[in-house]
Amino acid sequence: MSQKHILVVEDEEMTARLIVYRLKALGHRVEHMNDGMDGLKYILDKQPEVVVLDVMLPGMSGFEILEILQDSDEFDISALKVIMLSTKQKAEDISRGFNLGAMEYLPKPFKMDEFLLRLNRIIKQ
Amino acid sequence: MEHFFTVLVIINILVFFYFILVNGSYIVLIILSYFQTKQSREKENLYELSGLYGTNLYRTVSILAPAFNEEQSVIESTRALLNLQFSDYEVIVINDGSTDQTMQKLIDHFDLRIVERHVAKLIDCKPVKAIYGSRKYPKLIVVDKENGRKADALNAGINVSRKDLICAVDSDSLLEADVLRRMMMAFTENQEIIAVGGVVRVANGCSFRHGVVQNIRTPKSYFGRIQAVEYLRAFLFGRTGWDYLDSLLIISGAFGVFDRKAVIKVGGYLHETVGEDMELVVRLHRYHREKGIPYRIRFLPEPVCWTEVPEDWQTLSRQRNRWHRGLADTLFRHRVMLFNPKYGRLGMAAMPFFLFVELIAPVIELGGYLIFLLSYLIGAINITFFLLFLTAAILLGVIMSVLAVLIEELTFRRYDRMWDVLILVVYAFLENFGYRQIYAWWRFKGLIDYFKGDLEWGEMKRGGAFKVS
Amino acid sequence: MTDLLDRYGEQFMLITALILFILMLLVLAIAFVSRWRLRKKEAYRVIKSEQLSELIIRYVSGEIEVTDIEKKLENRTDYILLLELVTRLEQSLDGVEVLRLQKLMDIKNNRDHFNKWFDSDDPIQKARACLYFAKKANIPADKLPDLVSLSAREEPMLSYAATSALMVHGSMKDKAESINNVLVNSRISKMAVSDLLVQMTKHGNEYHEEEAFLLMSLASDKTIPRERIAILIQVLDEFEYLHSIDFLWNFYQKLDLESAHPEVLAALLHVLSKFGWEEILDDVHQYFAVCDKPELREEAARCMGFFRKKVSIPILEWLLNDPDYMVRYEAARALSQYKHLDFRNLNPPGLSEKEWHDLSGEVLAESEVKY
Repeated sequence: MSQKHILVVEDEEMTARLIVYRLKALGHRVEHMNDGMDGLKYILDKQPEVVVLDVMLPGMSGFEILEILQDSDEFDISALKVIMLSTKQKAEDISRGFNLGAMEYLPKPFKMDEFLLRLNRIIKQ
Repeated sequence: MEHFFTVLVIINILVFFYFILVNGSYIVLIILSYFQTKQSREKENLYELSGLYGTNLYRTVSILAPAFNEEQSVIESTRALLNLQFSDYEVIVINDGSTDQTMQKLIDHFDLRIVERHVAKLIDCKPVKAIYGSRKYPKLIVVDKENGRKADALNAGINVSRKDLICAVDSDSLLEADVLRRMMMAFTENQEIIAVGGVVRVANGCSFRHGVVQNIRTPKSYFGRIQAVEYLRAFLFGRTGWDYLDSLLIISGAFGVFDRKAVIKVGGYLHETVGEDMELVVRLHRYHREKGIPYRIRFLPEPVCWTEVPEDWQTLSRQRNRWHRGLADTLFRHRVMLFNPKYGRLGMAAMPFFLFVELIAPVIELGGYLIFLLSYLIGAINITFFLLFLTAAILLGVIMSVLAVLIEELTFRRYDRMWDVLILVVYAFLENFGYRQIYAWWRFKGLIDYFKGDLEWGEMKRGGAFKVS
Repeated sequence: MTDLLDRYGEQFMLITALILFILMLLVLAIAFVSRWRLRKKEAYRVIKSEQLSELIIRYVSGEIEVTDIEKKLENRTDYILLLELVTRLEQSLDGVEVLRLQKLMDIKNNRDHFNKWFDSDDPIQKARACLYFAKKANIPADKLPDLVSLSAREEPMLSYAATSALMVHGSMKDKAESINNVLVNSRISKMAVSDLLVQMTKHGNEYHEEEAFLLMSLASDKTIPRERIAILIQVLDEFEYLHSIDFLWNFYQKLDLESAHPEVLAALLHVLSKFGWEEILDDVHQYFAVCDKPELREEAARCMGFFRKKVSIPILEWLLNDPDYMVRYEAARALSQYKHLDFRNLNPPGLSEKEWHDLSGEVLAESEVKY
């Protein structure tokens, strides 16, 4: 599998560490941000290929980040692969995430295997 | 002349005893607040570890944010409120007849539309023009109403709210989202709780990013630093200590969570007072005591709200003047509670404390200085005594302030740099020279203004502490 | 008195001042010493928690074993840190990882702690132990009766936590009893009740017959507060147990529309239309679309969008003029579901061209999937 440049935006420290650890073990280049503002800035500046995005974030929610990216003229959101993580499970939230360009939506609590599976799927797309 | 001498000396002795009484009660409050803080800290740890914060056991809450001519900050502050980590809450922004672009900015940014929402007029307030909702932000409700006071805007918000609790926030204050949980959990834990207050701290000097505090620093200016010490002290023993005695009389207008039904029962915030926050709490106490309904009003030393304090002399003097008028007004309105055993510790301890120690303090302090000077001039007491007395007074003040900083250190340690703690200690010392006297003068003037029937608010000038750094 | 003051006043004040001065120095000294001590403690915590989280993550990933972590635990602080870190991680994980974390939590020292907390008198400690049981793979059977009686306790956190443990480990009878206790406890929030019911869907067989049956019998129980019934109906929807339609329709028909709880009505409308129960449409047209509660009109519009019947079109067009924006939006969205309609150029009566353009534009913008 090819190496990817992945950004993890997640404010729960332990979860983020675990994700980063596992992704790094798979050989990806991984960066972690724990607040929405930093995450957005990183996406705009460094243009990662894949973003693992939590919905509830301090500073700015995952939805808001996607909204800004979508409205931005310079940024091409279709090139970005997004997998969203969230404790919100309601159908409307999920559809909101999809409408905003998320390719996968994983409700928390999640299984690590499933997460990696879905991540693989969107990487291959 | 001999008699005059005796009178002067007696007054001096009385002032001295008053001084002992005041400081004695402060010391008692410090000790109580130490235990209270420690206990609260342990409980907080327990909650944190129990996993209860992760549940949805919170009662539902409406966050009420009145806005009057705040086109500069309204979007930012509303956005911060929409990002809290609760599952069932709503944010009600009340545009209190702003004359600038506040309303338009809200409509444009949040994509607001007029919605039909049945609003029962449970408490009196100025007419509501329209209620707005947003599809993008389902938690947001904006109320457009005719101009009244802050109390009026809050009352309108209470009417519109459909949740169990209300949390009133100031436009120049910022909530720490995580700690709001603790206040909310208090309501879940104890059914009798009808109001909870939290700590308000000085935001000046700290850096904020989109509604989250980043670096906690002491303010840069003299007035800012002195107020940082003042707030620490006031919240630690003014409130935590009283909470231990179950007789909390003040929940800061900048930050408090109330049971909506209880507030409605007592008729909401009072319009014709300048101290609506204290007045409401006293009225809640009074109502529940008179009806014999079991209730609790709590103060939690942990939840923090950051507020921007005025750093210029004039705004500060007006603010303090207003606070003192508010205190006088509240005590006068509820004077029947004074020394009334029917109201328990509230009538026998808390109310008299606020009357004698807080309200008339400036009169005694200024009068004390005057008489002391006079006594010295005509030779009723000698200079050594005079100086020693002053030294003792100041040392006591310093000990008290340093203790406040110390308790803060022992418990929450919000300032992570030693430098900031040192600054606080130094200002706790400096405060006693000059500022203390000026402060007494402002409060004294407030008292005079109260008797003249002045209801003016005094304008606040903002420095923009929450701007993006 | 004056004489006394003359003679001893100075000495008295001098002594007072001196004492106060010493006191001040003492306070300052204590302040600095305690700060220093706390810093040291804090620094230890930071280093240790760094070390432990590294280990936990490697352990969760299956690289090391429980004993490797146990070796590193030296004192009480370490155990508490471990608990803290594991609790935080556990909240977002599921599956194998959680099983591994549970094994880690089950090391003897921790188990003893939780058992002690379960037996304590403090409701929060007890609740904490219950929430821990809810996460464990199995618990001793003798705890179950205790949990059932705890679920009847008045303290919301305790009742909730005990029920939560029973949702995982209890028998159907235990579940029924504890859920009943939770439903009548008005201090437990709506969301929390709903969470507990949903938790039930994660266990048991895949058709959830027993669970659905329990919900239905609770919904018809007269002792359950009305506002709770709406939650039960919403969860029935989540079970997707089609046999509940008869029950729901029966339940609906027995209601008096004027006096029924609006949330119950909205939930029924939603579930029945989702299950495709067309009989509801008559009431939707005649009652809900014109009733005075905006949230019911909104649900009615959504309902018509499910069925897409021709007769609904004029009513939806009428709802496009509703005073409430949310109702207008839902009506427009329902109309957008009709395949044969030229939605964009519908120009319904009562709306100006621009108004319709804006409203339909919003609906289309939101339904557009961007990839």
